Amino acid sequence: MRESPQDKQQKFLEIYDSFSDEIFRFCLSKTRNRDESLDITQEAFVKTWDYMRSGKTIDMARPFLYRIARNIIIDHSRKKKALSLDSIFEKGAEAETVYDVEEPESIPTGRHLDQEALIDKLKQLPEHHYEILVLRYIQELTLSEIAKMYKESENTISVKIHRAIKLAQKLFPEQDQEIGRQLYE
Amino acid sequence: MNNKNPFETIQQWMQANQMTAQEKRKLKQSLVSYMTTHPVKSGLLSPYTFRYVTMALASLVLVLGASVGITHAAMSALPNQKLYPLKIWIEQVKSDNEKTPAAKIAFETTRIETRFHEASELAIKHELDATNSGIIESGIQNSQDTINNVANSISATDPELALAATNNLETTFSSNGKILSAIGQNTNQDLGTIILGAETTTQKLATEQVTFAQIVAMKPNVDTKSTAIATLATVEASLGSSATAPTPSTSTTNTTSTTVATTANNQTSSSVSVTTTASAAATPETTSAVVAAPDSTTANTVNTSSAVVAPTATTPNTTTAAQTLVTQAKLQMSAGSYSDAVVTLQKAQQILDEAGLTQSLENTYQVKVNPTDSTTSSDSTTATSSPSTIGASNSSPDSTATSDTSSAIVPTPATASASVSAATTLRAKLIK
Repeated sequence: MRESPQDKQQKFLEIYDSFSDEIFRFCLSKTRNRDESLDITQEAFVKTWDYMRSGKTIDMARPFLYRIARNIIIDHSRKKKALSLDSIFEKGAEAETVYDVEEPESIPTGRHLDQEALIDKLKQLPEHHYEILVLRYIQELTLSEIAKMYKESENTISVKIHRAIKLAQKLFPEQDQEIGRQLYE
Repeated sequence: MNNKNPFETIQQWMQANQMTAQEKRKLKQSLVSYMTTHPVKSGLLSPYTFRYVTMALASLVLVLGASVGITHAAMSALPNQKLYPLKIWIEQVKSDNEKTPAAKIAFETTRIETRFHEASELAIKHELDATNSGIIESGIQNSQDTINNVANSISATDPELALAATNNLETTFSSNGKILSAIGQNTNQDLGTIILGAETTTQKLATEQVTFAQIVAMKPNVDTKSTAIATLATVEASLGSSATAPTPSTSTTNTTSTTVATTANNQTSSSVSVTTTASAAATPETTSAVVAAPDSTTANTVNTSSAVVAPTATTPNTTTAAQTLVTQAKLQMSAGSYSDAVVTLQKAQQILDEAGLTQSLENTYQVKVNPTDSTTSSDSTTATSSPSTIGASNSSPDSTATSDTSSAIVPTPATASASVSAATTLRAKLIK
């Protein structure tokens, strides 16, 4: 049975209320830029609404939203790189300086410097490893949800998480056992 | 940095960096606004769907257009061009898809006409070499074999159609042979192979005509009554308003002679030729038939009236000959011999058809056929089978029977050239 437009609007707003915070946090974990994360979050929900109003249905809203947000982040990242390269070609070395000047302003200078230092350290991991660890242990998505998001099997996701944990243990030798515990939880 | 699990530490940082209530409310408001300006799409034909459908249709049109363009180009290809095999393939597919015998015969006849057209085109361009000629002859042979097979397969169930098909085929070969001969003379080219092939085929078809005509004539008159009436209407329509029965007063001679030339010594393979003097008009009182056996000097008079046709390529004579046959057919119908009438009327239609086709081809290729051209069927093999001639052919070659008014007419190339058949029944069936 087809949903009425009012039903769809209601469902969409429920999704927003349920997941907007964590999508924002996910974006923040990836971009570490509050304004950009807000923009990406808004864009992710706009795309979700476009998807719903075109008559398509969403089985699992959570992984769907994460997937959209992730894709938007990747797009933003590519645009940044392209902009940066264009600037280098157009303005020479000066462009890099401009970027460097803008970037620190967008990074929140919160109270939790040790926490940010941890994130900086974790971001030394390859991007895909960092992302999957954030999804699993910070955003606390289930294996099923991550698998749905990446459109892969749960077994594959488990293997990827295992590899990411192994790498993370090398980054945090003092928390080795604690991280290992996470893996087998 | 403490020894706490880094994930938990980061998690705490994340929790501390949530959206503020104001940010969340503002974001929600902007989303609601977006939802208002972008409501749920209704119906299946959304703008996106419409765009995709339009694109799909445009692609389809492009593909079809390209296909049609190539097909169209292929259909006008000549044997020395690269698209010619595609043309033959398309023709074969069409032929294979013809369901009824009548449709298949008609299509294969058209294919033969196309081959002759190709030969004419190449001859005019001086490009008809041995290779191209061989390709064309092969194509003609294939189509002819197909027609023969179909005609033989229906000879028992629908002999009228088989006879009409053979008549029509002979008309095609005869007319196109004459045209090719004329083109060869105009362009100083030797088109002997194809012309000879057409001539030989015309002769072979004449024999088949006799066979089918015999089968038609043996059918019960009750079964052929409606066919005879329909065929008469078709022939009279072809003749137009001039299709009136000749009267003795309008004819230049009151004697109509029928010559039946038997070429074999047995009844079944006898080849029968019926010719009529061009100026003749048939009347029951003066009609006679003579059966002439090559190896004998005897003549056999046939009691039933039969027209003798020797039309030339000129229209008046052709019309006269056809009118004569129509008159004869009417008499046969009056006597209840509808099967005989069908055969006679088909012959009349054939005469008209050949004249029309020849005239049309003359106009197309801007040539003039020599009336005495010998590219058409030979005298002894150009055959038809009016009821009387069938009766005559059934008589023994050695028998002798002469009526008082009989007169033998020796066929000449000119008279034989027009003794080809029409396709009245075939056309009637195709129209149906």
